[in-house]
Amino acid sequence: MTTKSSPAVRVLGWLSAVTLALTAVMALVVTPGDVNMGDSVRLLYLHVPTAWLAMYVSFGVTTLASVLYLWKRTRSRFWDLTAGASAEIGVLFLGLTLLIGSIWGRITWGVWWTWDARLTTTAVLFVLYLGYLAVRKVPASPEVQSRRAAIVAIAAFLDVPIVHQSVEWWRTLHQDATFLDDRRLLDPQIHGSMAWTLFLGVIAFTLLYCWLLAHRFRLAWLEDRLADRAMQVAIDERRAEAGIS
Amino acid sequence: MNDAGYIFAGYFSTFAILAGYAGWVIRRKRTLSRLLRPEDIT
Amino acid sequence: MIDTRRRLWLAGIVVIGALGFLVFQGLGNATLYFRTADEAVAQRAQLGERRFRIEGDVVAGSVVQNGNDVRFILTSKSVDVPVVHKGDPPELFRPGIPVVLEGRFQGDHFASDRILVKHSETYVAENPDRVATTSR
Repeated sequence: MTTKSSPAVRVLGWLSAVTLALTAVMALVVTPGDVNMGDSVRLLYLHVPTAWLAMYVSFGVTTLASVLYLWKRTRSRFWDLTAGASAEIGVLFLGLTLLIGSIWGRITWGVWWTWDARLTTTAVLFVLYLGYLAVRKVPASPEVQSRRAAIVAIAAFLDVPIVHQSVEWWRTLHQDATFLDDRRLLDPQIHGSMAWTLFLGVIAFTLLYCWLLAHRFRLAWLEDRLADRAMQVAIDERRAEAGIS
Repeated sequence: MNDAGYIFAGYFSTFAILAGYAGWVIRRKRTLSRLLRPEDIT
Repeated sequence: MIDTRRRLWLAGIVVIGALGFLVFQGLGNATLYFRTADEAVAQRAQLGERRFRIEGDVVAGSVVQNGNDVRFILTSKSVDVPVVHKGDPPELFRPGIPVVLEGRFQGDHFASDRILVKHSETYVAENPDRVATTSR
């Protein structure tokens, strides 16, 4: 491996750039406004894909990788680094979900923020994963650090189904799910070109996620190697000192 | 377009933040691989 | 080692503190984010002058702009509540839509100072002619 990314990753990067640009054009130019929400509906094409990628894909991968780390038969640094890299991208995407949601709320509801169940549980999710990233940085022996992080990751994921169900369980200002609901999955109430643009947005952000994960994982791996080497140097120095005295 | 300011600000900041993050990761990756000797990166 | 432990505790306390704040702030209100207009009328005696959120549909044809006030009728399960809202309604406010209002009962009406326009999970094109295909 060298600094240069593999051709596959580079193709992934270009594909995600092209699909993202296409999504933006569809969202801002081609699709119509909504009969009630007007042009603000255009924020849907960022809000839903980022939320989807953060909650289900990024945090899902983090949870899966954490389980695989905790399971003795599959335990390896690879899973620990994957979990950390994916969670960081998830926090970034969830931050964007909150940002776009806030702007959208300002236009349609008239407020930047309100403490309804969907918004509150999402804010909790954001803080939980920030906490997870902080726990990863608390110094300890590598094994302890990784195990601790894996347990926190699995605990944090418990909030994801709560966020998903919040619009069903409680009364919220936030609208219900358009697609991911047993009653609406086969009959989503959304205009054709809006649905296709949303679908394209999800694909674009998924490609971006894969590309970011490849690079972020590589960075985490390099950091790991650097820490290993620093440790080796320190041990060598100690040995040398002991040898002299 | 109604609320064009809000909508464009949303799109602009999203893509700017994503590009900023990607740039940070790639730059840091380059710096770190320069710090490591080739035999460390295998 | 002591330093490590202290940092771990500090990180833990900050996260738990932040979570506690969010849960306290949020779920307290969030589980009962609003009362529907019929519920609010039924609980009128208990609610008194307390501040709460009320939800219902804006009755078509009931909206009257009166200087700085907007008067309209809010309805839910055929229970009507007259509303006096102080200030400008939000841009997307119009008769027939579901809204959530913040305010309190005052005499025979609900005195609102904030209108939150609720929207549904259905998305319908503004000008259907512009795009040939519609899924609805």
